[in-house]
Amino acid sequence: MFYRLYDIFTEHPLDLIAESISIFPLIVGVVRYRSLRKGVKFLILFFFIIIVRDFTSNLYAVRKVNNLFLYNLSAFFEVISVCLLFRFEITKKSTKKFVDYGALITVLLCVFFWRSNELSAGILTSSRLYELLVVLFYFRQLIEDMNVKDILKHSLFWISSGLILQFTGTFFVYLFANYALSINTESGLFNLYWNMNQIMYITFALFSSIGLWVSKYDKNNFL
Amino acid sequence: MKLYIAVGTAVLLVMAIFIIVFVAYYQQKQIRQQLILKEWQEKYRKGLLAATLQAQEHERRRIAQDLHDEIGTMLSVTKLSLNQLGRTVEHNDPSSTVLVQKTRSLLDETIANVRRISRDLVPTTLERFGLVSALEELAEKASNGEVHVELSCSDKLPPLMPQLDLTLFRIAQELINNAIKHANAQHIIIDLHCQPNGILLSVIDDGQGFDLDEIMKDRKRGLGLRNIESRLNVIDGHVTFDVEEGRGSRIHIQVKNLKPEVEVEVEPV
Repeated sequence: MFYRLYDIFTEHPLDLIAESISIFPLIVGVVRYRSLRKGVKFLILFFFIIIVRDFTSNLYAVRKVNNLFLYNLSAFFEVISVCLLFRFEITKKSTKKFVDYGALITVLLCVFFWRSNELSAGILTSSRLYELLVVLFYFRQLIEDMNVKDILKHSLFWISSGLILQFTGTFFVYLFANYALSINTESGLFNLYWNMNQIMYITFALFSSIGLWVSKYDKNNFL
Repeated sequence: MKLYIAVGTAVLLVMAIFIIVFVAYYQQKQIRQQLILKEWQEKYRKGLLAATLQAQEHERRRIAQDLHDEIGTMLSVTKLSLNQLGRTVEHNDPSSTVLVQKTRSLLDETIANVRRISRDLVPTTLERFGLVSALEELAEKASNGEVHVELSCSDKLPPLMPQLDLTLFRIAQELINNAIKHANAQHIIIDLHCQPNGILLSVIDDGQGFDLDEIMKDRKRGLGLRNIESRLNVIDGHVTFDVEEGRGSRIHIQVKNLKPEVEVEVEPV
């Protein structure tokens, strides 16, 4: 079993890095838990889910069972986590409504586009589109409210930046998932897009770690 | 398709980076401007407060001068006339002598009162001999059979700026007045000590104390305490109220003996 796992990680070294790096924000989040804002606490849960997903996915891979449905499933949790992450931070009622109802509609769309044996372009694209819009709404609020003294010491700025980079970096890959990440895709091409996906995830995990680390300044960083 | 995905992703990534940089740059720039504006507003507010205090001091000075020069002079002339009248009456109508004497003593009392009010309005001792002498005089004046005011002062007090002198004197005046009038204190200690870069003035009394929150909430009350805070605000000072109902109060004033942002002109007498 370990030999097989070793083979997988030798073939996809970026997967090992991406899966290991999830522990980083989780540890920082636990260390900084007391200073975390209400919404940001859900990010720890999000990374925990990602770790569980990757662990399960590795188990399936070792047993040569199709594990792509796990990524469709994790999109549900991603949408819910992003909704919870931002709904406590967004002050405008209409935007809050969009975050809530948007999450509900996206989850329904994810159910509609569900695929159990391959990556679903519908699920991955709709979830990314929703998350992208939520982050943009948050950025708009940051500029409108002007209540953060030092934006580089604001946890949600780093987390939002990481999210937006991950979403935009993987949006087209997921939009054309039927071509780029399907089971019929040529192995080299699949690896290229998959590695790209992992690089964007690593970026997001690093940005989130910074965000969680600077959360200690959040308390005194508001006007 | 490969090209479309690559180009699309590159374009989206560039846009994302642009958005992040724009948000960070624009937000920081705006917040800096907002902070500068707030600083200016604070400076303006302090300036306004300083001008109000200065106007108050001007008005006190004018009233004191009017009392001394006009009413005081008129009373002295009246006394002279009364003395002349008294001498005439003594010869012609001895029965009215008592009435004249009574009027004279009333006049003396009025002259003394006018002089006292005039002196209270402008602390001449402060300007002539400094804060310690002025506080000594204040303690002496406030002490009577029932109340004992004591001044404890460090030997080497550095020369203070006139604005600081006046502020500390007015605050001490207000606190002593409060301790006697509202707290029914019998023993008051004025403690003036030098600190690195500043001065610490403490007024400690054995009165019945007060509830600071309750007084500060009530707009009609606590005018004196608010006035103390306003005065200290102008010179970047700080007040600590160690007070509670039912026990003596300890009020500590901390000021820096540095050149303030807003200067209040203190006219010589």
